[in-house]
This record gives sequence, C-alpha cells and structure tokens, in this order.
Amino acid sequence: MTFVWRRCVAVAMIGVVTAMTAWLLFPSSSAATLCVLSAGVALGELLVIRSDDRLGLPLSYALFVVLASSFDWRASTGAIIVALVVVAPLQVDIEHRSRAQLAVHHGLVATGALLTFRGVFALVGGHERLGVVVAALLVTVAAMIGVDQLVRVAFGYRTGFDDRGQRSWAAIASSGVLMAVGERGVDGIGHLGVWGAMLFSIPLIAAWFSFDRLDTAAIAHRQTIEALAMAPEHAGLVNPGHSDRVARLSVAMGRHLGFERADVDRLETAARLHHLGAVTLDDPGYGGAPMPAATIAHVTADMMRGIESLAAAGDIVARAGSQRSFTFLDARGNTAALALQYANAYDEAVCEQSVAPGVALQLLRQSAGECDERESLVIDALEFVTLSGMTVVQSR
Amino acid sequence: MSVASERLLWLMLSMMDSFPPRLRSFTVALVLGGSAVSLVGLMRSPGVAATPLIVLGALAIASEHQRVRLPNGMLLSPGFMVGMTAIVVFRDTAWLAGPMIVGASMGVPTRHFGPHGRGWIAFNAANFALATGSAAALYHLIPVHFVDSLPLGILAVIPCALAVVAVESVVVAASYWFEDRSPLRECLGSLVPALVQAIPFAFVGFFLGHLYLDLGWPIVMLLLVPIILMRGVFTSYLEMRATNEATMQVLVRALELKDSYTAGHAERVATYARYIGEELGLPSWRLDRLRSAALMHDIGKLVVPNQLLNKPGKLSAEEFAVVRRHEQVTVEMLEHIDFLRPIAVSVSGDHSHFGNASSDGSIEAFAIAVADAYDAMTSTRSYRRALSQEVAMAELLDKAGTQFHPECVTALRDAIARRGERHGAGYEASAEAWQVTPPAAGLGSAGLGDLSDGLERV
Repeated sequence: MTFVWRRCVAVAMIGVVTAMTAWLLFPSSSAATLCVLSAGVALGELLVIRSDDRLGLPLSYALFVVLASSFDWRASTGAIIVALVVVAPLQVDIEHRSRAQLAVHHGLVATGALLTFRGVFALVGGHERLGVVVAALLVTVAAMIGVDQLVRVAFGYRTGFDDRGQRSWAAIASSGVLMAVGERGVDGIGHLGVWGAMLFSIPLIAAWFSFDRLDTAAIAHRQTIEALAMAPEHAGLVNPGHSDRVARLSVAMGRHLGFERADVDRLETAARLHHLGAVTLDDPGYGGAPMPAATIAHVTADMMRGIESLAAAGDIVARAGSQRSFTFLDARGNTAALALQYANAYDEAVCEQSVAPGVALQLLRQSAGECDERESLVIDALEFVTLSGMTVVQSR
Repeated sequence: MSVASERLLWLMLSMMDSFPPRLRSFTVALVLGGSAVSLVGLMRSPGVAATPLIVLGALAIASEHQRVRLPNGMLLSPGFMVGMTAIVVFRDTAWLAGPMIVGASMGVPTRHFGPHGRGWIAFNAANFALATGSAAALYHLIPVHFVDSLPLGILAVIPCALAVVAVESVVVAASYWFEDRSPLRECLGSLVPALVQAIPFAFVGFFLGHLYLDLGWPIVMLLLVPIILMRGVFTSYLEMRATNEATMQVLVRALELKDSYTAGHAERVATYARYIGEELGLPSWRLDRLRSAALMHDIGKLVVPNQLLNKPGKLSAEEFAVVRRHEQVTVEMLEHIDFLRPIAVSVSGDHSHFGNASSDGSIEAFAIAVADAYDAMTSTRSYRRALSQEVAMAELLDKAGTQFHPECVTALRDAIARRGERHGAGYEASAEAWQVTPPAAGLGSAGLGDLSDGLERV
C-alpha cells in the first residue's frame, strides 16, 4: 500500500469514528453528516487529478459544491477549514507547495463556492426547482474555476487549464452537481442525504482512477525512454548527460518555434534516443571501425521505425542524420530534424569540445552559410533558448 | 405458426448466418425465451411509461458504447448501472418488462451492425434482457419498506448484481460450449471479478433510480459526463500502456541486433516468467511488472561491446569484467523506472540466486532467473547448441532449492506441461543460419556452468 493510500485509509477511519461519535452525541443535528463530508473533503484533498504541469485538481472541489449548496455557510466554512487544516500538512509533500499556500488556495475556492451559490440562489428568489438549483450549481462551479485560476496566477503557477485540465474540471463539475442534488434534493424531494453524495462520487473516483493510471503509464513510458537513452552513455559512446541536454534544448527550441504539443513530444523522444543505434554497432575500442554520425542515425531510425508509436520520432532522427538532404520531406518534420541537428551539434561543441557557447553559435551560423529561412529560424531559436536559459524538459 | 412469426424467425436466422448451427439454435432459443418472458411481463403490467423506456434505453445503448476492455481481457461496462436504474424506476409499474426492454437495448451497439456481427445483437440483447429480468425479479421479491429505507435499502443491490453476473456468465459459457470452444473455466472464473466491478455501478444505478423517480429524467444525464470522460481517459491509458510495451521492444530489437543468437530471448523469458507468475497466482499488476522486468532483464547488455558478446572462445579476466558490468548497468537503468525500482536490484546478478544470502527474496527475480536459465538452455548460443527440453528441465529441478527457487521451477514445469509446449533442440523457432556452428555442449549461461554432464544424465 502506498503512502497516499495509507493516509487515505487513516483519514477515512478518522471520518468514520468522528461521524459515529457526533451521531451518538448529537443525533438530531447535522454534525455527523458534516463529519462525513469533512472526511470526504480530506480524502478528496489527497486524491488529485494531475494536469500536465503536475499541479492538479483535488476531488475535494466536488465536495465544496455539495457543502456550498447544502449547509448553513458558517457551519460549512468551519468544516472545510477543519478539513483543510488537517489535510494541508499531509498534502504538502505531494504538491511541493507550502502548507499556507495550499490552505489559502483551496480555502478561497471553497469560500468562492459558498458565496456564489448563496448569492445566485438569493438572486433568483430561492425558488426550489430542479432547473434553478442545477443552474445555480453550474454557476458555482464556474466561479470556482475563476477563483482557482486567479489564485494560480497570483501564486505564480501555470493555470493548468489545458485539455486535460478542462476534462478534469468537467468531471468534477458534473459529479459535484449530481452529488449536491443527491445530497440536498430539490424542495424536499429526492433528498438522499450523505448517501447520495457518497454514492454519486463513484463515477468521479473512477474517472480519477483512470487519470491516475494514465499519469502512471505516461511517466513509465517517459522513464523507459530515458533508461534506453542512458545506454550509449554507459557504454562510453557519448558524454554523460548528452541525450538529456540535447532533449532539453530540442524541447525548448520546439516550443519557441511554436510546435504543437504532440510534435514537441516526438522531438523529445527523437532527441533522447538519437544515439541509441551506436550501441548495436561494433565498438571502436575493440577493433570496430569508427562509425559516422549518419550511419548511427540511420541504424537508430530503423530500430525506431519498426515500432509504430516511435516511427515518427524515428523519421526525425533519420532526417537529422541526413545532412540537410531532405527536400522530399514535409516542412514540419524538417524543422524538427533541424532543431535536433543543431541542438546536437551545439552540445557536442560546448560540452565535448569545450567551445564557448557564443563561439559555438557563431560557428554553427557560419557552417550553415546561405541557409533557407527555416534553417535561420531554427538557429535563431537555438540562440534564444541558450541565451535565455530556457532549456526546460517536460519530465518531472 | 403465423406468417409474421415465420418471417420474424427467418429474419433472426438470417442475422446469424455466420454462426455455427448449434450456436444458432441456442441463440434462437435464447431470443424466444427472452421474448416470451418479456411478453408475460408486459401482459401482467398495467402499462409501460414511454419516457423512462426511451431515456433509459438510449442511456443503456450509450453505456455499452463506453465499455472498455481491460488488459486482463475483462470488459468494464457501466451498462448494469442503467439496468439497475430501470429496475428501481419500473418497480411499481412494469417491474419485469421495463427492465428487460432496457436490458435488451444494451445489446445493440453499432459495432455489431456489420454483416457478420448482427447475430450478436440478437444474442446480446436476449442475454442482457434475461440477466436484467432476473435481477428485477429478485428486487421485486424484496419488501418495499426495506428497499426504500436508507442505508439498508442499498443492500438489495448486491443480490441483483449477483443475479446479473451469474446469468450473463452462464449464458456466455453455454454459447462457448455450443460453439465447440470450451473456456468454461475462464467464464466461471471471471464471476467474482465481474461482480466486484458490477457492484459499485449497481449502487450508483440504485440511487440514480431514486433520483429519477423524485426529480425526473434530466438529472440522469448529468451522470454521463464523468462516465464518458472516464472511458476516454481509460482508453488513453490503455494506449499509453501499449506504447510503453512497444518502446520496450526497441530494447529487444537493439539486443537482437547486437547478438543474433539471442533473437527472441527477451520475449521468451517474459513469456516463461509470466507462466510462472500466473502459476503462482500473482495479481495482475505484479504480472505486468514481472513481464516488463523480464523484457528488460538484459538491458545492461546494450553497453557490452558486440565483439565480447559474440566471442565464441573463452573471455579473458579483463573481458569478463567488462561483460559483468552489464549487471550493474541493468540495475541502474531499471532503477530509473519507478514501477521497476522495487525489484531492480534483485533482478540482476547474484541477488536472483536462490541460495545467496544477499538475496532479498523477490519472487519476480526468482521467476525471471528460472525463465532466463530455461531459455538459455533451450536456445542455441554462440558457445553451445540448444539442449533438449528434458535436459533443461532436469537441470532446473536438480538446482531447485540451491540455485533456483523450487516453487518457480515447479511452476514453470507445470505451466509448460499443461500447455503441451515443446522447446529446445529440434523445436527452436528461430534456428537461423549460424555464423559459426556452435559446439553441441558447453556453458549453460545464467550461471549454470558447464552442461556437458547434463546431456549424459538425462
């Protein structure tokens, strides 16, 4: 059982015990229900749908919708604050953020939800009709998105509202609304209580599980490629860290050149594996003939092209090894290959031949000579990312 | 028989052109049985409301479109959730016919509209209708005051889920039997996992039914969003898994390019290791990890120069040290991958030696060691031709308890015997032209030493 799961079990047990105690002590109040929902918030804080920038959406946001729509706001705020105070210290090592920031961030989102639902509901005269309740809940979710994005901007995080972020919000919004309607009912009808909220969280938990599995598989895939990329370095065929540096440079250049996300991913894979073929050739140290870079590139490309999911990255490696003789290829692929070619040449010059970065750039410009517009753009991108230090890599 | 009935029967039979005769007869009986029960249900009910029938029927079809096949072959479908909703919604009106009609609509996903798939529409519709009908009958027997009281009422869901899973499994198992295929054991063996999968969805369906009765059909639509999302993301996950598996094949290709004698070695070791893991009853996530670790157990060999890897003669001490370095590199590379890190050290080198005091007892490592040794012995290498299966197995059994984990050895022997597979001399799949004809006997690899004695022993 992982550390997160152990904490989940601990939080769930605390929730059950406190809810039972509250029920025994105050059977006629909503204290027991609030204890269960607070434990739900605490659990939801531990189960996070990650976005690409590793900051994610906690499932507790769906519980905020329930709390906002069902309880006296003072009691709800108290329960949420208690839950956040309990959970923030547990959560801090996952998010790599300070406890205070985390509590403020989620506290503001929860408060935004409470105020919005009460405000909207008051605005429409408090009519208890299904359409009105659902509309108020949807506006509440919209307000939560707004507050969340504002806080992220204020704290200097990326907003995380990419495709995956949008899908995460869709899951949280739809489940939160359904859980809220199930919990509170409408005009006294359909009130399933805390059972409704708990049971309708199942599809959300299933969606979280799917996101989590996808995340794990994506990390495993990236790490497998990184492990493969280590082989030429362990064999002493390239300098330590070469493939990682070339990958960072290529990714930064690809982003600067405005590549789509999928194209950047392919370029990174190509950059990491571009030297892998060298390990299959006879070692020059044991009597083998030294192999030109083009041969290594083509052996690598052949290996990669045999695997459907790596074929496109293999094409980039092949083109990068073709010394600009790829007029027959499409423009986008050519630019990616050029980016890899220049990133590789720059790293070899700077890290293997100890050439100063500025001189290396000058030499590369000179060697390009009368190049076309696309090649000029690639060299400009290389200059920009090396001078601005924007060599980011997409892995953790 | 009336003309209409005859035409209906002809239409049904023509839908099942691609079915073997026995399966066709079974399907016809199934459809007639399902229709008869529905008809009786319709006649005994005061009437079926059209709106829930249309809404839930459409939702059932949509749910079946959202199903995904898990890596273990099981289908994950939210279909019964809608079935359970129908059971609750129709309880006081058409308690049998309503759920059966909704259940039948689960059998009409568009993927079966092709010329060879239409028979399955009839089969699945009848199967799902009967399964949902049996659950509805059980639910109907439970007193109203019990199912309407929360939280006790949700317990009523469990026998319903059990009835659905049982009826579906029996019908599918029977269809395999009529088709002259006999995975009866697999069908019945999947009962418990299918039930575990069905129960959470059935709980949601139960509450959804109550909400439908109280608040109307629009509320049901809210549930579609997370389910569609879940399906989309889960499909992406399965694709990513496949991509990662394919990426590992790059390693296999690289190793094969370095040493043609080891062609297929990594894949075979992964297969044998999986046999052992299955025999030992490892859970699916550990089987996945076992397969990946087995595929990559030789990854460190990528750093060994080709000239040393393919040297037919004896290695010098210096060369041997270079070759042995691959074990350390394997550990470093496997440790780079989170999910393989827990077994990285034990997979390589002395740690997988059963009798070694430093062994950490990882069963995956022992399984890979046995699989590696078995394949090393039953494959031709540059220094030795393949041994027979009997010699290899005798060698493993001889060293079981000292070098190899005895349970792993027994598991491999049983798994291969059950499958009736033959490996080794005379059965090699890749007996490609050898550059240099290897000697008939020699080292066993995987730390087995000289196997010349083994030939005489068996």
